[in-house]
Amino acid sequence: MSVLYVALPLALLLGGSALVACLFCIRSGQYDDLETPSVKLLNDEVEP
Amino acid sequence: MPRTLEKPKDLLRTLRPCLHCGLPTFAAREETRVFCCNGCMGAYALIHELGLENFYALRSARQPNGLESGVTDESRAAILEDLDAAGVVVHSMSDGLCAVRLAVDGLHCAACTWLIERMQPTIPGLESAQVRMSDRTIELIYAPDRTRPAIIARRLAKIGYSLSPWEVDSDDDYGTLKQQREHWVGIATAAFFAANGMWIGVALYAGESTGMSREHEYFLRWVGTLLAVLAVLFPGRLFLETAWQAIRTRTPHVDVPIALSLVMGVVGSIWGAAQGVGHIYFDSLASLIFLLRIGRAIQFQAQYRTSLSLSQLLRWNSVTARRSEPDGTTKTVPANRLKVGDRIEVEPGETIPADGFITQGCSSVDTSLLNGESQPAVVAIGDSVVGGTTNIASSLSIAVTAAGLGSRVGKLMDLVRDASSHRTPWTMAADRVSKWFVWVVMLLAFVTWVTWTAMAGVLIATQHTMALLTIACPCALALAAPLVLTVALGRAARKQIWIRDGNCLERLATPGRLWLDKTGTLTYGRIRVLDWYGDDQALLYAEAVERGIHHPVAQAIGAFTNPEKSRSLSTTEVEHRLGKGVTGLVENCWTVVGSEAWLKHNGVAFSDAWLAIQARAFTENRSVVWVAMNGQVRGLFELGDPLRDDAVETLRRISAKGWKLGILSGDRQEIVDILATSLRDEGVAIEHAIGQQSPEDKLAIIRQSKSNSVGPCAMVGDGVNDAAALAMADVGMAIRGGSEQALYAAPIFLANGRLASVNELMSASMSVVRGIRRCFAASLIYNAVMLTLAMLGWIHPLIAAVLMPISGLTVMIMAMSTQAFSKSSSP
Repeated sequence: MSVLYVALPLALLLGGSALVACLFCIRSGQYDDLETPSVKLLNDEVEP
Repeated sequence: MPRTLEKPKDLLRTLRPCLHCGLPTFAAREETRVFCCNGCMGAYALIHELGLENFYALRSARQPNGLESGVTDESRAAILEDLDAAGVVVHSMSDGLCAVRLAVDGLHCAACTWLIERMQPTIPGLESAQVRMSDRTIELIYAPDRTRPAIIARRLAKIGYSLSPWEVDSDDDYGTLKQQREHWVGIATAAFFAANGMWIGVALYAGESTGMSREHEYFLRWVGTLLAVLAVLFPGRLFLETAWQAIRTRTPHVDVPIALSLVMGVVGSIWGAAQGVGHIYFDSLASLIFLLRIGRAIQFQAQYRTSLSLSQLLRWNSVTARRSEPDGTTKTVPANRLKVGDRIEVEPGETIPADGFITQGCSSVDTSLLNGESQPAVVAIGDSVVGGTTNIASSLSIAVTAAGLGSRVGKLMDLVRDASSHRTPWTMAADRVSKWFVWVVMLLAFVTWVTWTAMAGVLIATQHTMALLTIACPCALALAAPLVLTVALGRAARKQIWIRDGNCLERLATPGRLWLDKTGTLTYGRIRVLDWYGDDQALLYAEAVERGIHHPVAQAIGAFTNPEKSRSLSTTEVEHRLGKGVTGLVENCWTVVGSEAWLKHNGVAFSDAWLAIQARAFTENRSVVWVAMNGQVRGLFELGDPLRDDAVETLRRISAKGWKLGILSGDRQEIVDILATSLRDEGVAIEHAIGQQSPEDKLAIIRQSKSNSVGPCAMVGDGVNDAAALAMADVGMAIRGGSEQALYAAPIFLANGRLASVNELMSASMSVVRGIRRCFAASLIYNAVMLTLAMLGWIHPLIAAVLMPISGLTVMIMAMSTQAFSKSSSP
């Protein structure tokens, strides 16, 4: 039994969990507004 | 003979930007702080008081021209007093706070969000204020026992942002948001499958050269194939579904060949995995889906923006109205809730919210928004007024005859919708190309397979066919156009040219016919004092007597003179007669300002020398306002709506590019003729100058010119009157200074308010088309060469897999280097 049979599904599982996290972020609305955050970043630089 | 015909030295004025809103304002040289109006001055003072001066620094960093209007009407905030009636949904939160989402008008740039969000600590009870730029809304979270949205709205109105109920088509809005999320989900999952498919592919290629055991190879093949099949079933399902729809309804669609290649890919992958021979292509299949999903998401984004603009267009109807209730009180309600027969009150300076007739009061109405008429019309009891126009002089009571969609403006909005749906369907260049590209590749793959099977057997043939299918990169070809466009649109936005529909750039590349509106487009759209004949004292007295009068002429005179100097003068018994003029006592000196007839009516005699000046002014289509003191003529103002500074130069350059120019105006024919003649004298070839056009006439002319002329039919304009025409034209360009709704009707909005941007756009679109062609050429040459090599069997599938992303990368770099709107490109 080669290590490949464990390593490959494990790698896919790890990648898959990252995908699930990403999908969760999308569904929670993080990507709904891509315009404002870019503008806010600029604002923070000159915060009094 | 007038004593002085030159302008007095100490009254020399220059045009300088208002400190708050950036509007060019006439101001005396010695003035250090220039404001266009008291509202801007107040806003400036308030911002300083709160220690938020950084607003100005930030704003200039992002947007040199600043805000469009300095201040908004605070009374509009009254609509938020009764949230239920205004149709606002309040969400109560578990900790006792409330949340509402409202539309913000006046939002322009980074500085605006900064300012609004920094206002939050200064308003007691307001917990958070989050601005969302993409749909121009704000979410307020507040403690209901300490504040109300109306209070917050009043506060924000002071610095120039007005809050109004957000017109939610809530199902629709939620639907688009959901779809947008689905696109992100598609891209993310497709990326997962593509990336994992690719590294399994790399493992197989690496194993081939180092000698991998058969069972490991089988295992990797099956896992890779499984990933590809999942990619087709989940993110790729979109293409299968649309293709199935297309086949069922028998309408050709670009998704049909895509779906076919996906299905072939799946069958091939499974067959390949089962056989365990030949070269794999599940990785290419997964990456193909990934790139296709990206392209689809870009397309969706563009369509989403279009629909967003239309809903913003309809937000116009959410202006407020003050309705007289039967019990004698007045109530502020959204204009779209007005019904036929309602009585409404309209104060001077307000927009008339619905069509109707006047039951009380007389005033003048600025109809430039609707028909481009530069002079205000005088109205009295019984006259009908049209919604969307502005009441100028005094308050009016109006009986509503049509409101909302039934009103004239509402019908115009319908026209706009029709025109936008009649536009040629949004077809990306990518679709056109990839349609035949896929078929050609399929055909070539078939030929390769058959030939090589006959020559060298199935094994070799399959390997060569796979190499061909891998190396053929429709993605590079398909992504070229959207990429070049995206780069150009981004650069244009930095120059404050907002382009809603990328196809416009393609259309502007070939010269055609360009129609220009007059008022507000070729001219500044507001009356200005162009010249003054007379002495200093008369000028001061005229300003003093006109002070506080809501009339474009009075405002023009106020902007021309230095209000500080006349403020000390006492004025009494000021009387304003509409359409005639003003009389009053300034420092006990009987001062009359107005038309020739008005002065004669007040017993003033005119000398021939003065009348000669007036006659000359009339030939130049300027209007004249006289000033008399104690029965003596002391001076005269020449007023007019001057051409934009950059108009002549821009038009000359545009016509040098081969465009045919025409003027299309709602103003009187003779005024349009005079303007056209003066432009022709400057060497600008104006082919047509058409006046007295109603919005419907303009639409008809654009439609006709669209079918007759060679090349695209473009239109530059502003105002509601142009909205339908702008939407009907192949390319509609709205220029700032007009009404918001026209800006949303047109696919291009020149937010910088410069006519020169039209010329810039035309140059840029030529670069864009050149850039797209260059990318296409590069991609086609690559594909032609590589496909030939692959058919000849000279390319190993491994090399093909490496070359494919490189070709994509090359196209991407070429797209980025397009010259459109870059600093080095000459306009």
